[in-house]
Amino acid sequence: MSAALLSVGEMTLRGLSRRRASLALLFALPLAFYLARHGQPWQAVRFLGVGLAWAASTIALFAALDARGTEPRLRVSGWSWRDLVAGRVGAIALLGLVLAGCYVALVAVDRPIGTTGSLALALAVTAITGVATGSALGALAPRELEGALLLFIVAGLQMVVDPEAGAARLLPFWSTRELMTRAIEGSSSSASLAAALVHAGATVALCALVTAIASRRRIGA
Amino acid sequence: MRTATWIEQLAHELAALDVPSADAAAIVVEAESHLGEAAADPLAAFGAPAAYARLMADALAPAASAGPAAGRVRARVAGVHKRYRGRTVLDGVDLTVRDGEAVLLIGPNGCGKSTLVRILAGLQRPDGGRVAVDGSVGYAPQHGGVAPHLTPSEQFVLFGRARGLSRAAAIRDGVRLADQLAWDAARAPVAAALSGGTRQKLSIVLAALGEPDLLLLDEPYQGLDLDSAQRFWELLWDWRDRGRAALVVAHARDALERADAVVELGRASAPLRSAA
Amino acid sequence: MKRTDQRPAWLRGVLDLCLLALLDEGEAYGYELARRLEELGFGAIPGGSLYPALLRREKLGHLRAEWRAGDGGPGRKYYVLTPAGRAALSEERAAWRAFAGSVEAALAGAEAAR
Repeated sequence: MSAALLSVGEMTLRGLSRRRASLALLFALPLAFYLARHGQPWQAVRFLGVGLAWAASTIALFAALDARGTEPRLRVSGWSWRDLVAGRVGAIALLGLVLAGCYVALVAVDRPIGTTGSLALALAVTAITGVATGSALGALAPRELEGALLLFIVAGLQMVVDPEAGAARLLPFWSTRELMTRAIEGSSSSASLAAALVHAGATVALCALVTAIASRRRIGA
Repeated sequence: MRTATWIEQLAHELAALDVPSADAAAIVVEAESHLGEAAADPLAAFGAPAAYARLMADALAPAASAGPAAGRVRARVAGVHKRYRGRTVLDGVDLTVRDGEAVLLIGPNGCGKSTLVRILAGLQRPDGGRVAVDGSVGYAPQHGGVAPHLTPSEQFVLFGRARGLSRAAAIRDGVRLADQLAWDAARAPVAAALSGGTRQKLSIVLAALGEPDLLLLDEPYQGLDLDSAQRFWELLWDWRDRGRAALVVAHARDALERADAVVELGRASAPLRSAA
Repeated sequence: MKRTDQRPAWLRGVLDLCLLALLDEGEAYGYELARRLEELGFGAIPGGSLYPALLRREKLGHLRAEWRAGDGGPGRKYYVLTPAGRAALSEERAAWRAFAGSVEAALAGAEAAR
């Protein structure tokens, strides 16, 4: 890994580590969703996935907006826009995976459902698609308010649209629902692992493209 | 204009420029003696009193004029046009910054100073004209530009590493530059906890870190106290005395006397005064 | 381009050097220097060029000022070349001769090519 990615990533995480309250709320969000449906194990785990998707995308969105002030001048100082974006998004993805790991452990200890392996896969994919989605919205949004509203629209639609409808597949966290269903129901589930992974892969690829194009314009090539 | 009137206005202008009274008296007596002997029209021989006073005040400011002769061209802008939201911001602007020169960019609000600086930094493209910058650039934007949740030392590392400095060298250079601005950066808290003026110092240090060939500072000393502003200029003079180039956007009246050359946007884009 | 007197523009780069050279012959005051430059064919020297140049060199330590009482009028400021000024003069004179030689070579070359 290049020195650029390491330096940018390290400073992204150091900056986040100072925002204790934000980090605490971030950990609390999926936990609140999980505890709210604690009485219904399947729903509790499903909502844990939704909460993680939101938490990961929110932190990626705000990390992108926070970096707006410094990224252009860091580019002038010598980092490339690729290093800056990859370092930041990579660091947030790492944080998202740590967050996912914490919840895998929590569920495994609290009330094992399905296999731990498939739950870990579901939450890891959720964290990554969340970070990718938040980063893309962060690259597109003109300011914080617009960014937050964009995120609400995406997250809200995810809740409102009938998951069986075709349109649901156009939303970024469709794969989360499929993978969570599979984690809960086991391999007998009707949910297709391959379809979910392809959807997640396509979501990440599309978000990466949007992030790259918008960031390159904003930071300067 | 009557000679007596011209002399009176000259004395007035020199006082307005804070020229020490002994120097001002010498300048006035010398001009008076010249005019007496040459029996010439003062306007023809010396120009307007205000302009002459300015020239003499500049010649007096030793730090601003003692620098080495300006060197090779570091940045050149020729006939640059830029439209922004349907409004012409820059209309055929010319500008040259040479090594060993601290150039001041002035002009009314909204005349495109920041846009021109961003174009020089490579962050915006002009709609027309030519821009050539030779070498590395350090840029401090007018607003923000520092990471709110990182300590100054962490930011020195982030910016210094971009220039290829080691971690230790980046912190050492950052602390040294901050010290030149009378700021102890080694023990400072995260940027969000700093005062506005101190954040401005941090921003200046981050631009200068790693000795880029061209320093671009957009309103660098807004919020700096008088002593810090003076230290800022000393840092800048030291910078150009080491043969490096700088372009500074500033409104403060004292900046006019302290820079080596002044370019005014919004009117004619020709330099008001060259370093030569 | 409009044809104008090019001497002021050319003089701008070498006025300091000429002043140092004149003062190498002995001390003089401002108006005297202006007259001598005019006699040498430079055209009228504006006070706005002459005195800032003298003041800059004074501040650099190349010139020392001496005030003398004038004939009835206000005192006169005489400029005296200092040792540092003499050193600067010889350095700048050599640099100028090299430069003037280059200009001459370029002009001669262009003429010969015609």
